[in-house]
Amino acid sequence: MNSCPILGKGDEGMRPEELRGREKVSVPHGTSAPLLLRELAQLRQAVYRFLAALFLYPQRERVAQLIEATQVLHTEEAFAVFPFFLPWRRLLHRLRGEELLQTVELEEEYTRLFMTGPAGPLCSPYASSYLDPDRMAVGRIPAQLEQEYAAAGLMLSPSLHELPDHVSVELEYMAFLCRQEREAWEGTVWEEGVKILERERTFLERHLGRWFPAFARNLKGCDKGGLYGAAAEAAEAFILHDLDLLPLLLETLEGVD
Amino acid sequence: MRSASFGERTLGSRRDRVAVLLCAEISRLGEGLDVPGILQWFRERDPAVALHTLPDLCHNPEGLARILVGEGATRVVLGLCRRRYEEGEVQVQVRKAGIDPLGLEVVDLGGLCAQAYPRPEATEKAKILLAGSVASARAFPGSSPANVKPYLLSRLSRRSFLRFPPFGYRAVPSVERERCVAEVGCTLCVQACPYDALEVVDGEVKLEKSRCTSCGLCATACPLEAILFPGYTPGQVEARVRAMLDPNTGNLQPRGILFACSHGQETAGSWHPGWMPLFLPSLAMAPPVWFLAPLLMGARAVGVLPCPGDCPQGHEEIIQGRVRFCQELLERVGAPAGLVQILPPLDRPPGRDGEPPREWRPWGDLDGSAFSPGPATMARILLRILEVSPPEKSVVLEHPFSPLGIVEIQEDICTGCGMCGRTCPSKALVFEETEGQALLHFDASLCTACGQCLPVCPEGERGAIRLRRGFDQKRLQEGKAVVYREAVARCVACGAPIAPNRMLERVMALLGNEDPSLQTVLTRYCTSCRSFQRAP
Repeated sequence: MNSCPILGKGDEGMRPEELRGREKVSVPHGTSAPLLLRELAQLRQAVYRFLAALFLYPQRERVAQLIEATQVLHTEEAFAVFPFFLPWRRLLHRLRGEELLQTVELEEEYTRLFMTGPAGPLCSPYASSYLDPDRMAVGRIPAQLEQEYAAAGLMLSPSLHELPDHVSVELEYMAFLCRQEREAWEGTVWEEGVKILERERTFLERHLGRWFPAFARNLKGCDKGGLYGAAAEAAEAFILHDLDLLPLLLETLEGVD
Repeated sequence: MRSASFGERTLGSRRDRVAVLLCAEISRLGEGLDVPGILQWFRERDPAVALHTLPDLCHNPEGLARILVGEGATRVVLGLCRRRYEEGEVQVQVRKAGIDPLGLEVVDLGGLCAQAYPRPEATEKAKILLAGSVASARAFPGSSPANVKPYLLSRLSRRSFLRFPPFGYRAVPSVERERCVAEVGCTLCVQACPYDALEVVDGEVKLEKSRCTSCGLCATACPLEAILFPGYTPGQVEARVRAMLDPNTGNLQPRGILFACSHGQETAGSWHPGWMPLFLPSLAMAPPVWFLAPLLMGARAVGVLPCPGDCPQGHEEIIQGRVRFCQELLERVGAPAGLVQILPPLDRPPGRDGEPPREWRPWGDLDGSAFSPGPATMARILLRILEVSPPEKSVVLEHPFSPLGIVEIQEDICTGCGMCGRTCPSKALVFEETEGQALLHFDASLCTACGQCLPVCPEGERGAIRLRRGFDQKRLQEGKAVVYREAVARCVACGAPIAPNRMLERVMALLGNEDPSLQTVLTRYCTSCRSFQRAP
C-alpha cells in the first residue's frame, strides 16, 4: 500500500507499511497463550492502517492491495481472541468478493456515499460534521487535530488532498501511535510505552471514538449489505473495543511495580 | 429493531440449529447421568438440536469450533461437569465458528444434577435444565459491540513484565436508541443504576462500562425495554421458564422455579430435584412479574435464593420488597403467600406449604410475552390472576414496591399544559388537543409510578398531580380514561387555539394588577395575532 501516504514526517512522508511480507501479523494462538504487549500493538497498528486505507478513495491499485492484505489479516488464530472478530471476518469476506467487481463500481459507491449529494455527502467522513455544532470544515476541530499531528512531528501528506479530520487521517494517526507503542515495548521502554498508550486513549476518547459510532450508524444505514457498510460495522466494533481495552491496559499496567 | 449483532442474526426459533455439547466426564461424577438416554430423548423431541459428547470438554475445549461449523450450529449449549470452565478459550472457539459467544448457554450438570441426585432423577433434571438452556439460546436476540466488556482472566505480576495475560469478555447492557425516550427527560435507568454507570448526555443515555457490574437493574427498570442485556433478556428468561415447566419435558413433578443469585450457591446440595434454578447476575433485576408469571405456567412455587451473607451489591431491600408485594397480592386473592418466598425450604418439594389455585395452572394458556418488565405485562398478569381467582371485592393495593402506579389529576388545579403527557415514558399519561378541548388520558395499566411527571408539572406544588404506588383493580380494568378535560379558548381574529381556559385563568390570576389591556390581548388573541392587535 505504498501508494496511499496519509500522514508524513517532514518531507519524507510516512507511508503505510506493507501488511504482508516483513510486517506479518503474528499473534499467539488462542487466549491460552500470553499475548505480548508488543504483538498487541502490532496487531492494532495493522488494523488501523488497513481501515485507514479502506476509507480512502478506492483507486484500482489500492483496492488490489487491500484485497491482497486480507490474505494476511484473515488469520483466525490472531483475531478470534477479540470480540470484533466476527464483523472483521465478514468485512474480509466481503472485500475478497470485490475482486469480482469492477473498480469503477466501487468508485461510484464511494462517490455516492462520501463525496456528493444535494445537501452534502450522504455519510460525511469528517469529524467536524459530527462534533462541530457549526459543521465548519475549516473550524476548531481540524485545527486541533493539525496541532495534535504537529506535536507528534507529523503533517498531512500533500498528495492526499484531505482535511485533518477525515476518518482515514484519524485512523492513520492511531496506527502511527500504535507503531510508536510497539517500538517502545520492543525496546522495553516501560514509561514510554505507558505514555503512548495514554496518548492513544486520549485521542480515541476526544476524537475518533466520539464521532465514529455516529458515522458508522449513518454508513450502515446508507450501504446495507455493501462493502462500506461492512467496513463501518467492523471498524466500529474495533474502535469500541479499543475504547474499552486501553483503559483496562493502563489500569493494569499502573498496578505493576 | 436491535442493533448490529456480532454473530449472524437470526430470530430465536426452531430454525436455529442448536448444538448441545456434553462433557463426557459427567458420567463419572457422583452417580452420573444416563447420557445416552438424554441424547436419545433430545433426538426424538427436537431434530434441530445437534448432540455430541466430548471428552474433557470442561478443561480442553479445543476442537469445539470444528464441530460447531460441521453441524452448522447457530446457537450453543454446553453441559459441563462444573460451573467453572475454560471461559476464554470457549469464547474463542465459539467465535471461530461464527457464533456470538454472548449467546452461549452453560449448564453445570455436575453440581446441579449428577452430584446431587440419584441417577434417574439427575437424568430427568438434566433434560429439563438443558431444554431450558436450548430455549433461552434460541431466544437470544444477538448483541452489539456495545454489549461487551473486556476483563483480564488473570492478574499481571512483576514476573510477567511485558507479557500480557489473555482477555475474557462479559456482557453489559446497551441502550437501544430507537426505543429510548431519554430525550424527553426519562431517566429511569440512570436512577436505577446503583453504580452511577449511566448518564444522559445530549439526550442520549451513555454507559460507562468500567463502572458497570452487569447487575441488570437498568434493563428491567426500563418500561420500554430499551435496554438490551444479552443473556438475560425477558424473552430469554421467559423461554427458559416455559421450557423448564413444560410437563412434556423430563419426568419430574412437582416443579418450582428458583431465581438464584449467580454469586451464590454453586451446587444443588440438598435441594429437592423439583426446584429448577434460574441464575441471574443480580436478583434485584427480577421485577415482580417474573415471580408471579411462573405460577400461571404450572410452577407450584417460586423461590428466591440470594447469595449467602450480605448481598455484595446491597440490593436486599429491593429483593425483599418485591417479594413482599407479591405475597400481599397473593393474600388479597386468597392464595397462599408462601407461593413466592425468599429462601423457601429447598429440601422439600415445591408447593409443599400450599399450591396455586387449581384454575391457575392451565398450561400454555398465557399468550404473549409474560416476562416483559413493562407495566402492561404486569397489569395483564394481575388481571389474569384477579379473573381466575376473583376476590370478594375489588382489590386496591398500595405498596412501596408495586411495579404499577396510579396518577390522580386535580382538575380544579391542573391548567392543562400537557407537560406530564409529553414526559411520561410509558405513555400512561397522554395529552391531546381535539375539537376545542384539551384532554389528558391516563391508563393505569401503563403507569410504572416512575414519578417523571411530578417535577415537570408547573402546578405541582399546588397539588395538581398526585402519584400513588400501587394498583386499583377497577382502574386497571377501565383501561385508558380521560382524567382532565377543559375547553380551549380560540383567537377572536383567526380562530386558532390559544390555551385551555383554566390556564388562561391561572395566568390572569398570576398577573394580578397588571394592565387590563394586556389581559385582554392574552386571553383573546393567539401568539401569532397578538403582535398585530392593539388593546381597545
